Amino acid sequence: MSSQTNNADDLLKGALDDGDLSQASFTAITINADIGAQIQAGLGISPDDVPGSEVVLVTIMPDDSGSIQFAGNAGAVRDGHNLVIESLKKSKQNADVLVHTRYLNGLVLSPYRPLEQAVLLDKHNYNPGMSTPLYDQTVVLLATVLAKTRELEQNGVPVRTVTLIITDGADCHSVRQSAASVRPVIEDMLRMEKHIVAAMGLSDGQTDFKQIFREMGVPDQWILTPRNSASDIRKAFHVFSQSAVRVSQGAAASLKLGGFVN
Amino acid sequence: MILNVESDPAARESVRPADFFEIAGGSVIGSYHRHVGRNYQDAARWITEPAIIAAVADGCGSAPHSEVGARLGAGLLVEALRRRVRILDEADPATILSVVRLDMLDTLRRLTGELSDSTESALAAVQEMFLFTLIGAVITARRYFCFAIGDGLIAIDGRVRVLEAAENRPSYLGYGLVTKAEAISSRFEIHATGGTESLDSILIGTDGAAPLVAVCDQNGGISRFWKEDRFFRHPHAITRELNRINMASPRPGRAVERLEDDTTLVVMRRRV
Repeated sequence: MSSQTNNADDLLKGALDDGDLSQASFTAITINADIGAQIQAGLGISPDDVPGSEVVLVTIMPDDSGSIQFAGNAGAVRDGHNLVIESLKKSKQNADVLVHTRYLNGLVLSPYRPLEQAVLLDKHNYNPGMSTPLYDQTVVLLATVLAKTRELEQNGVPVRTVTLIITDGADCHSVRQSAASVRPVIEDMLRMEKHIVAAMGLSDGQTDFKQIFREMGVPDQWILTPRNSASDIRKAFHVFSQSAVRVSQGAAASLKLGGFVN
Repeated sequence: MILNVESDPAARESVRPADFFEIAGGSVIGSYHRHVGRNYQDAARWITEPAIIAAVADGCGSAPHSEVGARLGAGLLVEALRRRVRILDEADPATILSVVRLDMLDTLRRLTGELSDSTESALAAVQEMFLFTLIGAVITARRYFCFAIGDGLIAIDGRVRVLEAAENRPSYLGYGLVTKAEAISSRFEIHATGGTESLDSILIGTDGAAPLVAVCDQNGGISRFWKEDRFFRHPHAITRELNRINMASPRPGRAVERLEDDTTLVVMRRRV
């Protein structure tokens, strides 16, 4: 089957031309001269190789900053990420699930791959010790979600997405983006009524994560702020995994009306 | 390779149409149906052994649950023909389909009886669920025939025929369950017959497919569905193509043709 394989720049430009992306979002995304390559690194499987007729994109951005290690939460983040994958595997889906994991500092653990090929975190591939460019990488991540969505839709594959951004600290080291520049991207995604953007802030005892995520445009009902304990963090991942499972099972209402039910 | 089983009846027994023909199908909910929240009311069913038998069905748009009947109807038709595979080569297609029709009505009548406790409720059940059109195709080692009750689309070797319903009131098999005059219009009509050895392709579609003839013009016409290999290489290729048509975004100065009604196609073509 011949597919319309476009590069990332074409996908974003097409989204702007069709009105899916506002100019503010397009500007925020493309101000990064490397965005095309960064998105391409996450696109993964070709639409031709997706066997199903519908797709759910599950995208997770674990925080790989040094504070995660320092707070002793690396294990909880690993377990939580893997819990999401395993929950999806155990559930009965009516759409193909593609999973993409990209760390907060930009490393692509795995581009979009079928659920059964999703890479689990372990002590070797997840060893947090870097900084927290939350805004810069959120824009890269969401641009990847948008580009993959468009690539699949151009090949006639309906798509829904659910994305989780994880951080244990306020932004530190972003150079291009701010909460204000992230906001139109999330707003555009929510307007399409096929995307869920969720955020999890692991308590550091001082950061107001709800305020930060609200400024970024994440709706309140999709914000999780677990306490800084392994069990609370795992519970928060469990809550997110249930939402991801519902979306994969075709619960359209979960996109429009849903939120975390604790 | 040309199938020629006329001179060797014994060969007919060993020839499998599926060795020489490939089949693909797809479906999309109509853009109008999606917009108003109406159910998807089309269905398709096909088998490739021991003969190629395919059916598409379209539930009556004004009936609240006609998708139930459409799914049942497509399945019952294919299975009723499959049970009669031994006579598909020899008997008159009109006779075969007359018997199949009675077989299907018998099953639907029993189902209606199970679902109702009075004549009135039985009639209501028929009107709610069992009014649907049917388009079908059979390919055996020796011959093929295409038939329909109601409107839709049939294309044989590139010759497209749009079956239209007078006053937009198609015939339904389900009319045979009631005692009104419409029961007469619930019979199968043969639209094409011929020898398999000279057949290249058949496309059957529900009436939602009729606009495809125009929508596909700038992209090679509806013939792309039997000419392009890609539609036979991926199980959802036709569905994706129909989705792509309905997902195209309008732009200034460019009108977008969409498939407003549920659209279902099944395509059979000689292997290349």
